[in-house]
Amino acid sequence: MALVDRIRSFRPPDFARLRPFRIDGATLGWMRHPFAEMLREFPDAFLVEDHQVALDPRLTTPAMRSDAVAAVVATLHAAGIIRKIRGETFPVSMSAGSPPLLALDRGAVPHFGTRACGVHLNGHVGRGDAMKLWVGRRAKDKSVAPGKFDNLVAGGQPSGLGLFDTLIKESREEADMAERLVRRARPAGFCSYLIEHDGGIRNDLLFNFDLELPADFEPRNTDGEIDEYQLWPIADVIERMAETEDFKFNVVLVNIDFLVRHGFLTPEDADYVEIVRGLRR
Amino acid sequence: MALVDRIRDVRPLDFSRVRPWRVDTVIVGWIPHQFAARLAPHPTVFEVDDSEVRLVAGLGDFAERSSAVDAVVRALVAEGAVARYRGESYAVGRQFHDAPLLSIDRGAAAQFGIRTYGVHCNGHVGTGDDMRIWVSRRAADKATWPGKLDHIAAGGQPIGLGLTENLIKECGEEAGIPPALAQQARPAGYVTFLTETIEGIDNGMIFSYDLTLPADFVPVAADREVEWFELWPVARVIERLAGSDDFVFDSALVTIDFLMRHGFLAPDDPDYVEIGHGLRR
Repeated sequence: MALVDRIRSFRPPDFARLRPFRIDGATLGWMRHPFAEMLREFPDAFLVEDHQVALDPRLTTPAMRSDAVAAVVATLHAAGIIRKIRGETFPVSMSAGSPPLLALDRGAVPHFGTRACGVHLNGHVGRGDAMKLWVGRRAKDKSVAPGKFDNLVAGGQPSGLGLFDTLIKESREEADMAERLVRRARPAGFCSYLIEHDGGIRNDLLFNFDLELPADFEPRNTDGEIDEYQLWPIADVIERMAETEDFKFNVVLVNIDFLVRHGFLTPEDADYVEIVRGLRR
Repeated sequence: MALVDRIRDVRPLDFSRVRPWRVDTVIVGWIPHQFAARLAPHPTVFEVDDSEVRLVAGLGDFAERSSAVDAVVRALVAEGAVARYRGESYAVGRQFHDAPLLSIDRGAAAQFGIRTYGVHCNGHVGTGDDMRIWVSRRAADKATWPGKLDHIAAGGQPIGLGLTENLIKECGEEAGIPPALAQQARPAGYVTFLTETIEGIDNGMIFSYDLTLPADFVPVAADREVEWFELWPVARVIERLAGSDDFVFDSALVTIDFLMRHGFLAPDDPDYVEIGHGLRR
């Protein structure tokens, strides 16, 4: 097995199984046909056609759109179609950073296939070939990816917070890290993908942050979501990612991007071009 | 003016102006229609019709194909249809790591629209917010992009040379960087583009390398191709990139990629994602 196998597992979806979700003519998400058909029951919010689902254009403000969609989401949740309401909304916008067109409950995002953004923090000690990377192991009772390896800190980007605010909040909650330490993190680009995963559509964009940590730093989990943190030599990270699926699926992308940026993959490798290409789609 | 303008300047190729060049079943380049007409009088090497240009089947192996095409290129140089013969061979093929199907003179790359490869060195001093970047100005009499701002060292990738080997060679030739220093450069991904410039079709993939230079290192123009080298604070590089098109367009892309990887661009900026996607197309 090789790193490129992890990249290849991010297969583009079969678009014949999906229809676009549009607002004012712009495609904001992708839905499976059975879900799209259910939305015919809600003509005050959605105009469902065979080739697309459009949000009713009479909903002209973000607040009107959010309220109308939230009412539908609540009904579909009560009917058992949307399994979980998370009580946290994600912004739906034309592109990351542009004004949100509506806010959508996080639990409904995989059904609408709208873009979800997240922040991922790679904490490393040392530089060059002596570099080590902090790896967290997710708690065995987590509903998503239990027991898998994760970045030092990672979290979804909710409505109304700046990316750095989210990073600081997640770093405090997950790893007991002080704000003044996290503020030294440097943004380093992003990874993106659109796949069918775990029964839903994942249309994700992950903002990568790097933080060089002092050798005596020790993360400490306070919310019970991480069982333990370990400091791994880079070679171990590469081997474990190449040989196993022990890392959470999207953490692999973030880590490969980190490895590319820090010169741990060589462009002479026959897979290099495909690996780098696969980081942003 | 903003950094994203440098991304938008690199307009996608207008495919109505070109036709594909095929070798066997592989598209290896994009040929402008008027240049395709110049190939039609060479029917033992090129089959030209309205939709495409094909290398004649059965020309033989790599060496025989290369030599047949080279004879045509030399004739076109004599006619003035190709500006000059560079005496440096570029690989022609499906992608970088595949065995090339033939080679072609560098001087004809822009007419045949083949994917060309290069290495660029981001030479910098210091890290974080104190970082400074070496910038060069191309000589006013240079054949391509005279007077434009550029990297400390950069070069096209000739056939038969390793990427890192080529980087070390260019660092020595263009900036007097000793091999022992140049080989500390770390690969950091690549940028790609397919566009048309005053030089012709530019279908490029540039491998980026980062090289941390000692504060007392001073580059030396080993030939007369560089007018000067200057060590600029990052803020000055950003200002010049955002406010002008003074950098060669591909060096601008490589430098913006460097700035993004090293945390100098804010991910909350609505242009961030467009910039990131625009670096690899």
